[in-house]
Parts: sequence; C-alpha cells; structure tokens
Amino acid sequence: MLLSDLNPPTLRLIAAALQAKARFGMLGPGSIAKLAKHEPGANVEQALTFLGLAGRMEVGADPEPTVARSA
Amino acid sequence: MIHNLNPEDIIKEAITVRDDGQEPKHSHECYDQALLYVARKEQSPSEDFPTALARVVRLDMDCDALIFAADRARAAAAFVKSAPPSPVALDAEQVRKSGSTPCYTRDDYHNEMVALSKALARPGETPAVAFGRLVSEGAFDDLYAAGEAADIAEVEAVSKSAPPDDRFFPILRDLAQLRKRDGETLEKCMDRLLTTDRTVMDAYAASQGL
Repeated sequence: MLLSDLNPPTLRLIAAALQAKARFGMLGPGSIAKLAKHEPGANVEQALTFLGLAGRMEVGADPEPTVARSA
Repeated sequence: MIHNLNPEDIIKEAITVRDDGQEPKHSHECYDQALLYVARKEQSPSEDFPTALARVVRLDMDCDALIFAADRARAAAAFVKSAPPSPVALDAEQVRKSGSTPCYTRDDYHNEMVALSKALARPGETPAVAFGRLVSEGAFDDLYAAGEAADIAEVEAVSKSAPPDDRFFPILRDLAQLRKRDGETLEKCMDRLLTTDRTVMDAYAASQGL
C-alpha cells in the first residue's frame, strides 16, 4: 500500500498514531479506531494495515449487546 | 500563524463572523496577522507602519471585522482552557502524583484523550491533528500512563483468580487483551471467547482433556 493511495483523513489518522507511537511507544488499534470515528472519511482498516496493526483486534466492534436472558 | 492561508480569505471569513454571527474558523493569531497584512497593504510611502496600522484600524471596515473575529476566537479559546478537568483526567493526574490505583479502565482514559482532542482542536484542526499535537505537547502523558497502569491492574486482578496450574489461562488472557471490545472488561472478554469462539472452545476442551 502506498501513502498516495490513502485519502487525507486516513493520512491524518496515521500521522496522529505515529506521533503517539513516537511518544508512548505504542497506540493500540482500539484507540486508533476511536480516533477514526471523529475523523470523517478516514479508513481505519487501511490505517491499521499501514501501521502493521491489521487483524490485531476486533476493531470497531460495538460493545457487547445486552441480551435479555430467558429464565 | 496564517499557515499558508490567503489573508483575503481570512478577511472574507471574518466578515461573516461579524455580520452573520458565524463561529470563527481560525485562531486569533490568524486574524491578527491578516490585520497586519491589511496595514502593510494600505501603508503609504510617507507613512510609518504604526501610523498606517492605527489608521486602518480606525477607518477600514475589513479591519473592524478582523478585530471582532480575533476577539471571538480569543474568547472561545479561553473558554475551552477554563473548562474544569474531567474526573477521568483528575484521576490520571492523581495516579501520576501518588501512584494510586487507577479508578477507570484503559478504555476510559483513551476515550478521554479523544474527547479532549475534539474539545481542544484549534480552528481549522481536525480531532486527529489535534490529537497528534496534544500528544507531542505532552498533554496526554498522564492519561496514557494511567491507561497502562489500569491495564496492568486489570490483568493482575484477573490472574489472581486463575488456578495456578492452568496452562490455558495465560493464553486465553493474552488473546482476550487483543480482542477486547470497546467497553468490555478483560474478564467479560474471556467469558465471551470461551462461550462463542469455536477455536477457543476447542482449545480449552483439549487443554482440559475433555
């Protein structure tokens, strides 16, 4: 994947993740996915692939649904 | 700093802030620099710069809009800075100062980082750009450290309840750390994997000799 294939919101997301990686050593895929929700148009899968984090987590998965248990 | 923006565009935008009540899109520095640009443009050869600036500020309607928009942008920035820190941010600070056990999960600290990025984004900045800037400025050091401490505390708490000779448990715990969903605890994720993930269920059965 080339950087030129990625749209500007995805590039901004990657830049933010790299800055966090440089300071903290790591930014989890979950946090990147959270940030992506506020960056309209960002492709989180592409960003994670570029950062080498693809497939590491159920990214973007909703919290556990509340299921009514039958007695 | 104007950041490659055209001063004429900033003036047009400032007029909409003054006349239409729109929120300023730029920082107060941008409007101030556009004001200096107007003064330089209007300065006559026989006039020094401060005199030209005073003249345009007094007479030029564009400058009036720029001063108005700069004031609005300054007030908006001051309002954001004066907002009290959230309980999550206060707890992160407490963890750093006293080494106390975090009261929130790593998700909570990271959600706070994202929320702050949104709230503290400068005019023209997206939350992701603000996030990168705030990370570089060290604004999230406490929150990130508290998130790591919360993660370690959660793993330790879960590990204490595990049977000491269970060789499957550390594998399941590590997998759960990777596959934890937003808002899910480590323990809940382990339960979910044990009851819904066929591979994990088979591995567990094999490890127990079932």
